[in-house]
Amino acid sequence: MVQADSAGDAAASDGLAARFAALQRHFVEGLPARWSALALAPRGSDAQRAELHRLAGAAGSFGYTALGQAASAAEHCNDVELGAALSTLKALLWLAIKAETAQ
Amino acid sequence: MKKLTRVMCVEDDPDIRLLIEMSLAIVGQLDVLCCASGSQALASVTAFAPELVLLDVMMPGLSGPETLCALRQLPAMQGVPVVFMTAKAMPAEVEQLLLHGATGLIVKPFDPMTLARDLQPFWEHGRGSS
Repeated sequence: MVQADSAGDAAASDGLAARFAALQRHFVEGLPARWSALALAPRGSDAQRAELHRLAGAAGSFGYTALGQAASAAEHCNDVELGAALSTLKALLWLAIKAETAQ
Repeated sequence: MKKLTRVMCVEDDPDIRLLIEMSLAIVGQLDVLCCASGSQALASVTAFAPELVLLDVMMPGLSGPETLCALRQLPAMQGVPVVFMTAKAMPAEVEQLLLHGATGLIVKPFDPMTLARDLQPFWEHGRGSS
């Protein structure tokens, strides 16, 4: 019986991991659209900072800590630093996409 | 001890909404209703009768604090704990959010494996103070 329970737990855990991986893939597939929204918004505007805020919250929760931190840094930096912050963010964003498509 | 069983989540970002739903419904085994906006939440809250509301702060249309004010106008929602969820967590902002009548705050990024467990103390505290 213990064995059966363990097997059940393992299956449930695998199922959960698979669901999380699917959500993670879906999030990464949406990154180009998130970048388009960021790039199309006027530089430093409230709309651009709102997009950065959403990305900051989402990326970290999906396990992309560096991407989330870069989005948060860009959200909170001043207009002079924003160009460099967005370049860093773009690089991390494409790295995340590349890593996902390589799997 | 009684456990939290019914949670309404209000979040405009579809990816985060799905992650919260998975986290609360599958990991936490809770009954969950996810809404994409404050107005959608207001339309559904009475029928769903949540024991706790998890509310994003920055949303287009009704913001989190505006949604909270509107929820508090509903008789059934006056004692229900509301927990804000935000990527902004500067102390002054946290204080401001709590002044709006929130029970607590969950900071994004959150851990999907522990979110349901993390809400339990807010529910116990909120019930105790209502």
